[in-house]
Amino acid sequence: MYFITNPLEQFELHYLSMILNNFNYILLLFVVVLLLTLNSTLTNPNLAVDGMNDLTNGLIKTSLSTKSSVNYETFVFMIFSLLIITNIFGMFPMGTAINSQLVYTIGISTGIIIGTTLLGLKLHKMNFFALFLPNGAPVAMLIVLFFIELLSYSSRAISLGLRLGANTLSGHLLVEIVASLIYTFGSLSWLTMLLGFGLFGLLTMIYLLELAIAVIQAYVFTILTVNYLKDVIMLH
Amino acid sequence: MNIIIAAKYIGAGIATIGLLGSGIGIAIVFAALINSVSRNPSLMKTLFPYAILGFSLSESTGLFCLMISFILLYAV
Repeated sequence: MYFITNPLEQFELHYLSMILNNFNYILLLFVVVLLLTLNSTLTNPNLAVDGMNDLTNGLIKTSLSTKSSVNYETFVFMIFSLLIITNIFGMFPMGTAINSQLVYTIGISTGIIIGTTLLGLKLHKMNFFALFLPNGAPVAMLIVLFFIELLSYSSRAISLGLRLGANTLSGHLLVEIVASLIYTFGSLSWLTMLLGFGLFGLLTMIYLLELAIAVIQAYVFTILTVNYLKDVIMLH
Repeated sequence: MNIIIAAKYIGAGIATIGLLGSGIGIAIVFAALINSVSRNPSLMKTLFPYAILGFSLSESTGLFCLMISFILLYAV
């Protein structure tokens, strides 16, 4: 029998060998799935990969309307496909939701912010710091506004990853808590077992909501990444 | 020791008050969507991605509170 004593147990890491645990197993599985699907698109078109590619290219084209926008297509496609495939892997029963590990998601978002900052410094040299000076502000206020804008710019690194991590974490916890409530109801008496059957409807609705959120969060993360890229490339 | 456990449960309950704000935020987003689509139904395809973006941004603030209360209940 498999008993759940604590809903946070599903996020623990189990080591198969010295280095292989369920976390990097999912990442390995993602690489295998992506390579297989990308390899098959060379010979015959794949609906899922083409759809993802069209989605990310459309996002870039609408917000980055410069000639250099082609350079960022692969990066944004990789971000979107990584998040959506690992999110869907996490939604399988007994699967591991690797996006619930806050170290991992905040690591990704911090990497993105450092990368975009370096890109902006390379493109605009010292003019990059005009990003932190709002248009039309009085001169006396500029030194205060500079630090406020700098704070809000650097807090993006935390908030971007925390949003994804908190969504996945609380979604999986909610499913687990309702499921263990149904289990407890079923083991109490015949009357509560009937009530537990009714709760299966609630569990199904929550699960469908989590499936929708798994897709929406990958989409939102991609939109915000493109927006941050747009900020440093276009400077306002 | 009992008073610490009681404080943990009280804190977890108080942390869910933040969901009020996210509820109001989601309601504002979809009210604005319905308002604008009823004025101009042809804009539905353009406005829906923005509505989903606004929904998930305001929903995530509520989920931060929910995460705090779950962590207080099960991890602390």
